[in-house]
Amino acid sequence: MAQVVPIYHVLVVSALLFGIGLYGAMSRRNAIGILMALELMLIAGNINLVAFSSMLGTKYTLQAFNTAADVETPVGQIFVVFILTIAACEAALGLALIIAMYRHYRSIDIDNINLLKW
Amino acid sequence: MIAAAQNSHLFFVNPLLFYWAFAGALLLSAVCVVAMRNIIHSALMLCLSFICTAGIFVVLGAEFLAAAEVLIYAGAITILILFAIMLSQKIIGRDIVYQNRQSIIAALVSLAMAGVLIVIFATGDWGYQGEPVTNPVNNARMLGRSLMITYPLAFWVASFILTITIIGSLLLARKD
Repeated sequence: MAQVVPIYHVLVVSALLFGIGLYGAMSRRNAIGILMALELMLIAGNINLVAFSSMLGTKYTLQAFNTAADVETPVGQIFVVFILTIAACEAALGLALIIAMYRHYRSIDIDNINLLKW
Repeated sequence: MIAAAQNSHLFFVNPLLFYWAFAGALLLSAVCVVAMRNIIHSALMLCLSFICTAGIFVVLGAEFLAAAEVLIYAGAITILILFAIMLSQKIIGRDIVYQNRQSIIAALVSLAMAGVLIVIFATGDWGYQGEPVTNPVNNARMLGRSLMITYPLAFWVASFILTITIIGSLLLARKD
């Protein structure tokens, strides 16, 4: 993996993307719109991790059970694999919650969820 | 900076140019996601932003992750979001009011957060960014070997989480 993009360029884009996602999560009224902005924040983190993994290269992690040779690990990309998994799970569960909410309130406007307000 | 300086003689295949093409499209589609009235347009712009991040992953050298991301995000999560939109809207159209009362403060706060992050990144010393490393072993092989050999516990926990998510989302969305 040659590092072809200076790290600052990627970090700026990731910070801007996170800010856009944060604005969407705080200001949309539709519950699914909030989930979509949350996904934007997650991909900002993913881009950051892949950029650092590209900058720092691979790392030789320990072998297991003394059988294999040292395993060459791109550590940031392993992190991204698990973030992809967890983001898919979280999107599925969040959308199931929204469907349950729609069944109760007949609308997915977030301002309806105010039973715990003073 | 060294790799960028070495590559600057390439104009049409300059990796930095490709990176900025994908990054610019990503930022534009992200703004469209948070600012479009029609929620389905918003979901389609989200799909475009996933595809642009896959392009950025390819430029940064993570080809398998780019393919996995297109499959999982643009393939599965976008369809999931579209199905949930269609199951939960009475009339598919433009939302009359699509931003709540705190949208101006939200804009200020997120601008401040992004600004602080950019200032930190600009004034930080990232050090010598290393020689370009050409690696003959491909990305999928490295990821597969390290997931199975070095991180098997995290792999198994992820499979448990996926199982729990399937059962949980069925239970939550069930009509009872």
